[in-house]
Amino acid sequence: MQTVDSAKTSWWGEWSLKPGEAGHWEIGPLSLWIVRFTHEWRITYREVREPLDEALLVELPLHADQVPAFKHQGYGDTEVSVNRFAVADASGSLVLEATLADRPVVIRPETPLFVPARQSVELYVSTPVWARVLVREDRQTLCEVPTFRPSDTWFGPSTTEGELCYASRTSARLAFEEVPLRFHRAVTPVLVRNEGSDALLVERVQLPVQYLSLFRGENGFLWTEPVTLERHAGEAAHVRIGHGAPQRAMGARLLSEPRRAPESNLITRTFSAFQSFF
Amino acid sequence: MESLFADLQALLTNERIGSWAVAAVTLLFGLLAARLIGGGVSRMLKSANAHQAMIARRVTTYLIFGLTVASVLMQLGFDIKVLLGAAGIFTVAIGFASQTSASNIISGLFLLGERPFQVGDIITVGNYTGEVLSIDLLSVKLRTFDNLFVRLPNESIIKSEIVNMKRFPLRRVDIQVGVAYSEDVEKVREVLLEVAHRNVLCLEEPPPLIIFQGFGDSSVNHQFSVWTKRENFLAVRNNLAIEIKQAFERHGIGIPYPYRTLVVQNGNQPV
Repeated sequence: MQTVDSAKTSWWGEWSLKPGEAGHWEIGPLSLWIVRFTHEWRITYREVREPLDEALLVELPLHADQVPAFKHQGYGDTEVSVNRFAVADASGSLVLEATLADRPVVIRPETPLFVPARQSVELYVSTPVWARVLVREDRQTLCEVPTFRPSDTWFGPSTTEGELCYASRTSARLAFEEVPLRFHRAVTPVLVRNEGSDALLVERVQLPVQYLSLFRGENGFLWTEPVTLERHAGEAAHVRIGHGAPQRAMGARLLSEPRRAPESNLITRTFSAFQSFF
Repeated sequence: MESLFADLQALLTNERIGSWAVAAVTLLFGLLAARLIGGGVSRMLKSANAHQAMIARRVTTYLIFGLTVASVLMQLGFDIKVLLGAAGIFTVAIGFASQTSASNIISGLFLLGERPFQVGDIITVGNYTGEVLSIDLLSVKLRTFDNLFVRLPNESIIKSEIVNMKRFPLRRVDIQVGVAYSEDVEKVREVLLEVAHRNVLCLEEPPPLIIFQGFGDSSVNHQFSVWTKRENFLAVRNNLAIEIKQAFERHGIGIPYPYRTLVVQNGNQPV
């Protein structure tokens, strides 16, 4: 068995499997198995609830029998999700792609963060990436699996209007040196510019990740474009998405395009949402 | 044979029969056009909104049908003005005879104007909960969750309370939780919040609520409320109950049930 310890490599890319063979990927909290049969791809995964798990392991080829094929097989309380994809011909290679979440992510600093008037700070926040499984030469997407499924949250002024997002807690680090290297989370530098006349409490930031691309820096970090949030008064902020990888991401290579075409001017109520909904 | 041919020719050239034939053809084409154009308009709007598509189809169909009938009557030599005048008197007579239908029609128009629900919404009216299939001139048709067809007259709908479950994107799931008097209430609150935090379908914001409900006969009662996306309501309601029970068992928190102590006294034995 070929085991790829990916301290220096990565979990995405092109992989080849023969019929009856399987691959196993441990990507942070996610365990993913992909089995190839003659007319079928079987994708099995399970998520353990430790969002900051730093595991990274790629094992292949395995024998198909070594992969759990049923919901409750072999993992105690944790259920595995088994999905079968029937195809006329399962030949061709298997491609794993890293991509960003399919909804905006609302990031809440673990401790309240104030930005005084006319100050700008750069925060480093990270969001979980999704593993996209593609097959064949025409790169058909079979499914997308989150490396960590964040909790749902609502971002809007009331329960009747707003947007469904993913929720994420962040340390909102101000120094890049403190940002840990994780292969299943993409780092976004967020420049918060407070042009208002009063201090700004950054309670929550809605990050429009569906408009962002994913890059991989030489040092293994996953990056997105930098995002600038500019606040003049009140709670609304103008969101500007930078072009290309951040300067810190040296030798960055594009891993995936944005899910939606970036809009030139996004306005969001970024800093706080609502009071109480009772 | 010749006489028969002559009779047929006379029949066809007869002015009265000719106009009847033209009227019949006009009616046929009118009905066909009303149906086709109504269907076309409905298809055009269907992708945007099923409710508007239905109204547009009705209006188009009835309009073309009305014009066709007027045209046919004119073709047959009726004077429309006289007919409309007669219809006025006739309407008064009909109005007395069909108060319920008229009331339903008026109520239907109010319902269309007020729009408390649309086709496809899930509503509760009286004892019935179901999906709105159509909003018609006289009634609203529902499909209940046990797959029954219910026709509700517009008049009764306009008079009763309607609950629309598909109007807003979020729903709140309320679960009543009673814990034993011996339990640490603060710990119970922590465990409940942890359960909500671990369920990815429970929204982080609006935050979950724990509301003290009172000191019960055998338990301290709380209402545990979490918000979720409307579509996930049932899944959250069912899963949360299981998860709360499992979490309570893990943390040794007891859910009490009412009990009664029977004391048998010797002196009260039956004779």
